Amino acid sequence: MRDHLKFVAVGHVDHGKSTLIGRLLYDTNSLPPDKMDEVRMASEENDGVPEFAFVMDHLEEERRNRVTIDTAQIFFKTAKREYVIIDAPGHKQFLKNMITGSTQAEAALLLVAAEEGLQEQTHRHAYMLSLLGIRQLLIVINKMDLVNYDQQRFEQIKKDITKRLEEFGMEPPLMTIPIVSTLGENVARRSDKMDWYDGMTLLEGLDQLQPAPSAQNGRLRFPVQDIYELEGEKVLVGRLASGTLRNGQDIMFHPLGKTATVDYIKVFGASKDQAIAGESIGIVLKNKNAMQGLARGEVACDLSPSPHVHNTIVATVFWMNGEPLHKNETIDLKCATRQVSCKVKKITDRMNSSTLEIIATDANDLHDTEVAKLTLKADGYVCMDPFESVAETGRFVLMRDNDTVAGGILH
Amino acid sequence: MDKLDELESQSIYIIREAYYHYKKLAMLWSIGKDSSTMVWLVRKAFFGKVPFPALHIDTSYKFPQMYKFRDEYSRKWGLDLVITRNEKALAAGMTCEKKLECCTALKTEALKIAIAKHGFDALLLGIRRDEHGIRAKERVFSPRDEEFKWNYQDQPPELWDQFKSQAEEQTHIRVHPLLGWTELDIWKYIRREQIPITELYFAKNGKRYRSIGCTTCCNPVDSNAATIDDMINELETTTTSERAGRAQDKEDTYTMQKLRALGYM
Amino acid sequence: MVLSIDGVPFGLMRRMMDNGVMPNMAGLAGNVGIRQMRSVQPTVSCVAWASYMTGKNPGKHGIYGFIDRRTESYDLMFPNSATMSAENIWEVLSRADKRVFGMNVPSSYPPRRVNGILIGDFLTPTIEKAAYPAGESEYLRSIDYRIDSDAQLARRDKRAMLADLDKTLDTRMEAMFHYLDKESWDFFHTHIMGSDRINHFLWQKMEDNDPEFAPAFFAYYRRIDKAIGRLLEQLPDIPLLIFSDHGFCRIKQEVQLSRYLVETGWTTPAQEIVHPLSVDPAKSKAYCLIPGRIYVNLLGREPGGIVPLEKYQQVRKRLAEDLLKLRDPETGENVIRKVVMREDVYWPSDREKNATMEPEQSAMYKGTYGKAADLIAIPYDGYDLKLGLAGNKILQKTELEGMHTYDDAFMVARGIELPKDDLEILMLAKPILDKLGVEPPNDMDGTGSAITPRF
Repeated sequence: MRDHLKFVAVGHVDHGKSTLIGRLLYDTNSLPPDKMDEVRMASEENDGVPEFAFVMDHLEEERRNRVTIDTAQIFFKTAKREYVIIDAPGHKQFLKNMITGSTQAEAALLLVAAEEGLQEQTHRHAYMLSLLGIRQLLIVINKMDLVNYDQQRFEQIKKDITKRLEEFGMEPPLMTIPIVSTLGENVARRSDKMDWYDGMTLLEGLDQLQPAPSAQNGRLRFPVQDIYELEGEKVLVGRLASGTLRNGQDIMFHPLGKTATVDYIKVFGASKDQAIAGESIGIVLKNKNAMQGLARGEVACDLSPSPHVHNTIVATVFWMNGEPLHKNETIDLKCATRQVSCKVKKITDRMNSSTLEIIATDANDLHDTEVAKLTLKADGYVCMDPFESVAETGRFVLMRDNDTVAGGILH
Repeated sequence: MDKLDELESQSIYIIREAYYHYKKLAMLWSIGKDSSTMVWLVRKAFFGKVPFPALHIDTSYKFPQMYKFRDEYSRKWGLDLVITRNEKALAAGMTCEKKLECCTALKTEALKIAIAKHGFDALLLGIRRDEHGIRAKERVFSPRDEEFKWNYQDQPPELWDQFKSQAEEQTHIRVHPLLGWTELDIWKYIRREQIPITELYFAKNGKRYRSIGCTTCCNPVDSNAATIDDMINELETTTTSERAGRAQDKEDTYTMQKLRALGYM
Repeated sequence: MVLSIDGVPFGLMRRMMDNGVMPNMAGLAGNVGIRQMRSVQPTVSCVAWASYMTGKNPGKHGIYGFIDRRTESYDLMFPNSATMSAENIWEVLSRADKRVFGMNVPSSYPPRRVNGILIGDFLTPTIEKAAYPAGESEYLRSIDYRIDSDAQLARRDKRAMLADLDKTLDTRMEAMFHYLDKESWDFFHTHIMGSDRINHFLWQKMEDNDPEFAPAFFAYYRRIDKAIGRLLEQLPDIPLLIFSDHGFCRIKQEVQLSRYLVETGWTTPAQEIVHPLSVDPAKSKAYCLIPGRIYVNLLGREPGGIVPLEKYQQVRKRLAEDLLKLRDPETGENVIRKVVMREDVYWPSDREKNATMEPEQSAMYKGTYGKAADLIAIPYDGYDLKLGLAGNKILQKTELEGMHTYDDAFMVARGIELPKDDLEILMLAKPILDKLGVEPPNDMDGTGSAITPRF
């Protein structure tokens, strides 16, 4: 069974992102056979250089035909893995998908064109990546043909980007690769036009990325979804968000702050002595008294390390409603199965998600498709985790009258 | 956890969410493979004791095998079976000459009758994502809902389809626990769990029903798939596109010519 | 480093080394020795190379010949890498993060995804489809790379065929050296197919010392040797294997085996013969595919089967008897040396190594193993088994002058440990993986000693 790895491709469309994606799909034989043939036939008329316009059209068509669920995912395979490129046509879409979407990127590809080099664009891309806490980064410097495959130029851009990333508190990239996506130089094929480069091709570099650790090895997080009474027994039901749960395990409920012991894991039609992240299960506790005070919204965790239990929540929020958010407004927050009412204390670094411009560092409202760092004071405690650690308890929605108006992630 | 485990867990999660929010819940059971799978999942979600009714919309034109199956399994599974029909329309002799009219009268109206009678505020339906295009016209999405279509896999289903019908009708919420499943997933799950399925799905005399509903509107397709394994095999090979088939023919011609020249044929 | 030369028999290689036709090979073999190696049944390149690259017997990889039938019908299909049901050595090495290269090895088209480059074999239809990553085809186009020499030329014009073989070899070697220089590889395998071609069409002329074609024959091998020389110079120390997949001998007659089965009442052709399997199933108890692969038209297994399972073994025995009776009317000699049952030469994946199955069990086995022929006819040297359903003669001669032999492929190995005694081609994958420190898949055959019995 092959590994899967999901990464985001960040970069301005003019810098050749579409062509790069087309190239990756074509070189790895990841297009349907008739599309592969189309690209091949087009290449015959193009001096042997494949034309990737077809590929992007095909992807667009797929995207349109697909039902809402898997929005912007592009698949390709190498010998080692199945890759998913989480793509988005624009920044707005990208930010929204990343914050509200389900799939978490395990790495990012940052694309920069060699002749244009570091621009404001790149600055903002770096900011976005830091926002989302993506740790593994591959930098790809494209269109090397337009700068005559000049090593100096490559080294200069590499230095500039690394410095800029540092400014955002990001780690240096795993590698920086000079490529030409149209000609395929250093994408799958080792280029013979850049002898001064002795690093890996992009495909090799991708194969070097580490997949995110499996959720089942993470911290235990079981958000209580409901409590059923069956034949005199009380059963806590829910889906294990993270970690592994075993019969006899000692757990602690947050925000309640109570400990308990798992008597057994209940599943219909089977017996289980262990459950892993992702499974929907029932839990019966050892002591009847342990059920005191437990309700939907509590999260069962391992005894240590303790999760964060928040009363004041500072998080990145993407607003998605025509009616703007106002400072001091009261709004509902729902994280996993927990729901609390919050007051909006501060709206900081209000940003236009299309241009990535900061509109105001300290704002009074937040409009549709804008992103900001919100400080929310809740009327209760919420058990949360940094988004990179546990996605379920690291993300939340904001609601007005039971309508979802925003999505947010905690750092 | 393999793909089926993941789908199963998500669906159970969605079902339990629906029950938490809407106590007057009912599940629509058409006796077909999708809704029967959903009923199976609902049983799992509630540990065998389903606390709400299974609603069967009876057009009276269903296959006799379906009625038999329904009665047998609602008993076996201890389901609270509610059968609803548009008696008025049937008495007036409604048949399928005009297909759309028939479906509206016998199905949609019957559903409204049931909702009015029992006060259901939410319904579980076994609609799958790869059927979405066909069923689209039965649902109404507000534009805002469309925008916030979150991935069911990792998020609680914040947004369920709001079926806002005409003024005189009741508003209710529709929940789709099977949205992330494909037809192939359903069959693989049926095989894995050994879920009982009506025999109409299996080939007899070179034909089988790919979907079942009323005898008047359902037509069989050519097939030799007599077992679930055959079915899965058939689905897996027909999903590899026809486009690949044409390309293969060209290649085969080339290969044949070459082998002939070399004396291998 | 592996350089394979298709179809060169041990005896011929020895002679060419001794006669100064291949001095570089002579030098190499002088140091490390040369030995004989067994091929595979049936003895055809696609089967031999599939067994080599998977380290498994055909019962596990499913390539039984150049043509095969679709199990749901009597239609033909062409097995290749897409239908081969096992991982090849490049894939195994790729998973262990090794950089790998393969070019022109039979049964490698369509090229699977690897950590490196794979270029498909002679059955690749176009250059654009030849390579993984697909972009490599751009380079191949630029050097006018030949996937294969023109097969039609061989029958029309032998001189033109020779020129074409040279051009093909040249572009092959050009590509090989280009890729060799490009980066440092863990595993690099290039295959030369032209030798099999020249052996098929000029063997007799070579043996008979034809004044024009015998020297031309050896000139081709001299050309190969020159490339080997350059290779040895460039890579003086690395582990190296140079070998062939089977041997060759002169053809006395081509045997239209399907015709024989018709005449002996086993096969009844259909009204209209469209391809080699145009049979009337209701009236055929058996039929055959090339070379020497006999299938019983078994009830419950074949789409139009008529032989009941209880009769399976009996039918096979009677078929074998009939096959062994076939004689060459000109010489009175027997044509078929031996007939083997499939469970004696093929083994499926989920069985204990080499455990022999009961005939009935073998007959109804599903999956990859189940596609094997029920019987394999092994001919005497000189009798090349073909199909010929539509023809009216059993024995005939065409422009083909040479045919494959089973026992006498050659092997020259430097810096790599191979099992000492009996060596068959499916035993090579394991030592290569061992050398590179990679764990072989646990259902590989030939991990230590030969598994196929001698015939």
